[in-house]
Amino acid sequence: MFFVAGLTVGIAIFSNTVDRISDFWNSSYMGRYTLMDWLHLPTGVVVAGIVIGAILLFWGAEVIENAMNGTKPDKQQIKYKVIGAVALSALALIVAFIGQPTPLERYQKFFPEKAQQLANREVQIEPPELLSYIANDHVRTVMLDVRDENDYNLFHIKDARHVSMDDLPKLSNELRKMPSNTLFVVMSNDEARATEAWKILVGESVDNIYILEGGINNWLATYNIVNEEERLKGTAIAFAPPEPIVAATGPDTLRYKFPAALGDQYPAAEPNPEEYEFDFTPKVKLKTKAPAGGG
Amino acid sequence: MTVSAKKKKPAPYANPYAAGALLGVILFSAFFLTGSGLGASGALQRYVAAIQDFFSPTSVNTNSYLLKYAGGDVEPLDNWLVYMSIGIVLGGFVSAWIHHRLSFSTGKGPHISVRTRWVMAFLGGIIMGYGARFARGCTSGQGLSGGTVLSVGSWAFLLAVFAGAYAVAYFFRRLWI
Amino acid sequence: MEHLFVSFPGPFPIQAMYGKIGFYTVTLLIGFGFGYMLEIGGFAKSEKLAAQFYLTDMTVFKVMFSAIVVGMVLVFGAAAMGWLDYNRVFVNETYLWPGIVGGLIMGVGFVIGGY
Repeated sequence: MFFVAGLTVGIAIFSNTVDRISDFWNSSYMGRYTLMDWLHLPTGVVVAGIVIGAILLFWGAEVIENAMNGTKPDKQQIKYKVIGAVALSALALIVAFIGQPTPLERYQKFFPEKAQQLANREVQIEPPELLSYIANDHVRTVMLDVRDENDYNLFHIKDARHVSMDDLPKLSNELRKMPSNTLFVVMSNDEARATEAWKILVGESVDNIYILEGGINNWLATYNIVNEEERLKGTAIAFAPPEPIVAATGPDTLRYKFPAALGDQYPAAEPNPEEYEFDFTPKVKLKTKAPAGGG
Repeated sequence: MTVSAKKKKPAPYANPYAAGALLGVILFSAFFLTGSGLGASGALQRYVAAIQDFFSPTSVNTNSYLLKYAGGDVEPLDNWLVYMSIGIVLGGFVSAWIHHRLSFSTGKGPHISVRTRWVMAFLGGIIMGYGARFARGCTSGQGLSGGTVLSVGSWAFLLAVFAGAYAVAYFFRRLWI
Repeated sequence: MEHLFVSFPGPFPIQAMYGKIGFYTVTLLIGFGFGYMLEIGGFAKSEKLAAQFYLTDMTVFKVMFSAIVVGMVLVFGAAAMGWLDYNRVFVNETYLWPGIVGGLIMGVGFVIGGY
């Protein structure tokens, strides 16, 4: 058919000329951007609103059609249309009322096996394992530091991203899109907040995600080695040892004192993998992803 | 478009709302089963890429857009969209056959010749093909599927399609009315 | 509210379960249904399609938007019930202006070409 032939030609033309306009063609990228995101309204409201709007538009379309054709509306048909409209609206309202599941609900119900793994401590990886992945060129390691900003500024592992708990659902959109050889590690001072964040991200269908066992406190305990030479020269950045009484600092708090908020400038932020023996029980099992897409 | 008229009268078309609703169920099934919606232009894109790759692999490999469809070892026809397009054609054909709507005719308005209509169909096809890939999807992939899952880009696209068509309908009315 | 969850929400990893053949077969069947519905809605007849833009036959609008609205209610209904994981559903990425320009172009092509 001529039309299909035209389509083919049109696509061929586009394919071979898009390079020249690629700046425009790649502009205004907003990612996975839904109407709910744009309007800041809950999903149910948007759905119900669209249903009602569509019904009104259909009615208008009928009016226009009849006006243009000089036909009268068919009484019989009207009954069916009204029934259909009411049924659809009712459904939409029910959907709005039930609401979409929260990340934690998703975690609890979609991923029961994960809760088991969490309890068996299969998803908490030790600092040496994390370090080995940071050094590994075949795997991209994304570290998510969910502590308070103050703690993050005092010290964080090099290349760790600071994320607030509220941003997690939105962040999950970005994380899900990353290639399948990406490893995500969540960390807090101990494990409490990291575990919460982990549950949320698992519930949002992020794969290959693990918790840093013992958190930053454990990391520092492992890698907070002061270089004796530098200490004697006075160029070392020294830490105070951990607070002797754990109860005084409470759960999931940073148990180290830092003279200055240097973030990742401390040597412990970037331990040299070659200086340490990798002695750990490996727990990470990277999963690959199935393709999805559109046309 | 199709074979000669048979003796039976063609059946009337279904109620548009009913057809639409059923289409909606199919859309849902696609998302529910596979996570993706429908699509058509992506398939044609791949056929084009495959053909171009066959005749001139270098032109494909030096084109950053076509690379991802047919560059190097990538097999453009190894994609679900291609199979969906085969299904679409089959489905349309079978439906037309069952409803005795299979006929070779050229749909057009009363004021132009068949020849003109063919030319316009071809031209319209070129424009639509170009536009579909520009928008990264046609009315089924970008419009219906993206619209169902409430993508902002898809809704903007749909509005633009209707706006564009209504804007020029007046100027091309000789083709149809 | 407690959702009526099942432990196997869609979408399903069909390629993992049934391999490419299974996946492509499912897709083919879905495409078949799609083509069938389009035909019975009258989308194979260009005068019918073009008439939309002269306001005498609103079929295009009715079919498209009924499809979207019904599909949408089903998708989000299933998500609300925990039968479908919306996060794993493909949502077209938004490239706002190219999408709008492409749409306008398609609209023009639609009127000229008739499909």
